[in-house]
Amino acid sequence: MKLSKNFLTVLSLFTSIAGLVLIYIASLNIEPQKTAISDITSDMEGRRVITTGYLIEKRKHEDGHLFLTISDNKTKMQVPLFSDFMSSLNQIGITTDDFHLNDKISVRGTLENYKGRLQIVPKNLNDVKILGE
Amino acid sequence: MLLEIFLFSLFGIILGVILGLLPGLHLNNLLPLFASLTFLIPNPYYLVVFIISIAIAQVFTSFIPSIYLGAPDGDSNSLSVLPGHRLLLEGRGYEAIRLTVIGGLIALIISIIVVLFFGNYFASLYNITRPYIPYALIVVILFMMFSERQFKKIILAGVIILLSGILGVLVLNSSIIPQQNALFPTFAGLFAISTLITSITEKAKIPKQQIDSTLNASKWSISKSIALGVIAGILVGLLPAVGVSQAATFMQYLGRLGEGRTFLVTLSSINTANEVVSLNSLYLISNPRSGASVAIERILPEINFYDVLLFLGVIFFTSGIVVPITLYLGRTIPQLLVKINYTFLSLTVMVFLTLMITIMTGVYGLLVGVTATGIGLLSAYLGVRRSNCMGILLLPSIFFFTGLNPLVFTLLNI
Repeated sequence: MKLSKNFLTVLSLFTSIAGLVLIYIASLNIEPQKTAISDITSDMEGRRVITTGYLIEKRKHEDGHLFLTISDNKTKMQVPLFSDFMSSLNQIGITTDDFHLNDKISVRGTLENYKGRLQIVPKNLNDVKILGE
Repeated sequence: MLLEIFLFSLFGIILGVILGLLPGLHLNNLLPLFASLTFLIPNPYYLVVFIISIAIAQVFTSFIPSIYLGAPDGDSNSLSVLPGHRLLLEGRGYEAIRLTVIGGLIALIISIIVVLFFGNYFASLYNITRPYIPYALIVVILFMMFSERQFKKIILAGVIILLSGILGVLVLNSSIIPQQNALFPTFAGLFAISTLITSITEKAKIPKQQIDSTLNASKWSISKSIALGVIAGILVGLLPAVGVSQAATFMQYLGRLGEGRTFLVTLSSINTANEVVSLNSLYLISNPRSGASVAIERILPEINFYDVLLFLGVIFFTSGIVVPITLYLGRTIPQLLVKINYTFLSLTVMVFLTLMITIMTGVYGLLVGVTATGIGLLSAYLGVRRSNCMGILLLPSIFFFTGLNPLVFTLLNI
């Protein structure tokens, strides 16, 4: 059986496009690999990242935002929890007081650049986990 | 210490020859393993010597499978047949190997001299050109498209660049497969498996090969190809994302070389000059330019001029041993090719590559491999150059250098 060139062209086009769609769906649903804070660079800006670090600073803003700073002893990373996010956390019983200095925190979110400083912005409630001391 | 250096270089040559003969596999796939073995080796220089020897041995021997494997049927559309395969189908496969060895060796010597005497200027050249890299990459893409000449093919080349570019953005920036192995399934699919499938479906047969020392190319055209190859190889070694094949096609137009044999000389010259520059890129531009140089940076954080001298010495030593090995294999392999079923051989290599992709990158790697194979086959069936598939590196690099990555990642939510 000899397959026509047109058929093979359509088949390879279908494979390419279907493959790209499946890869995209998979990449949306696969957890990003855990990255150490010190390995996070500006090249990764815009990417989803997961990291863990010890809470070394927390600052409450009058508008209801909570700004966390976590560190892996080498590098620091800002984690802003905006007022909407904090309200949602409050609804499931997590408040500002639950974040203690030196707590180990796991954060998943988008790496953004705010005034030249990198920060991880979580979106979903389970993106921030307090792992304890 | 000298004896150990020679020994590690010899081990590297053996592994490099094996890797070179196995299509699709690359030194980069083994680097994470080597990096984890650092504690077993008493002196970090031995590991660096080992890596450099593998890299150089593979550059020379990898032409053997790319010329002898995956050739289409002799009646195929001549434009889509690669120059090495065209010579193989004419019974001149060994001449093709000799041309790549001659081009590669002379380019290697010239590029070592260039690195030794003009190495100090590389950093300034790199710093001056860096802001223009995205524009250079856009020019490369436009050149690749317009070199197809016919309007329809220019559009189709753009489609292939776009599809492979989207694949590159998704695979190189998501967590679908580990980043250290991300290029294996993509390159194996785009360039190796798709070529093998074309060969299998066309039931290609290889004619008896003529083993002689005749080179059907003038000394002038070979010299011109090498000179252009060295210039292009140095630039490819400094600039990210530009592939050896595109540089060879570009130089073929620039130098009006236009013939399969000179293309092979240019291609191998670019390959070896690129390897020499990228292996020494840490010293030349303080920036790694290949998987091997990233590994060297981790093993030897500080590199001085005397280290470069050692690297260049190892490159010379390796090439001195690997050149006769490549020529010997180039003479003996055709005798085996006419005896065995070529389609069966292509099928075996394809199964081997598929297994390796699955073992090294899992089910998602296989999905990436199948998609990449689809794009590679599409370029063949549409009758445009397979080098358009280098969009896989070009598009992500353009996004990176123009600062568009955050916007692209946010839009894609990856």
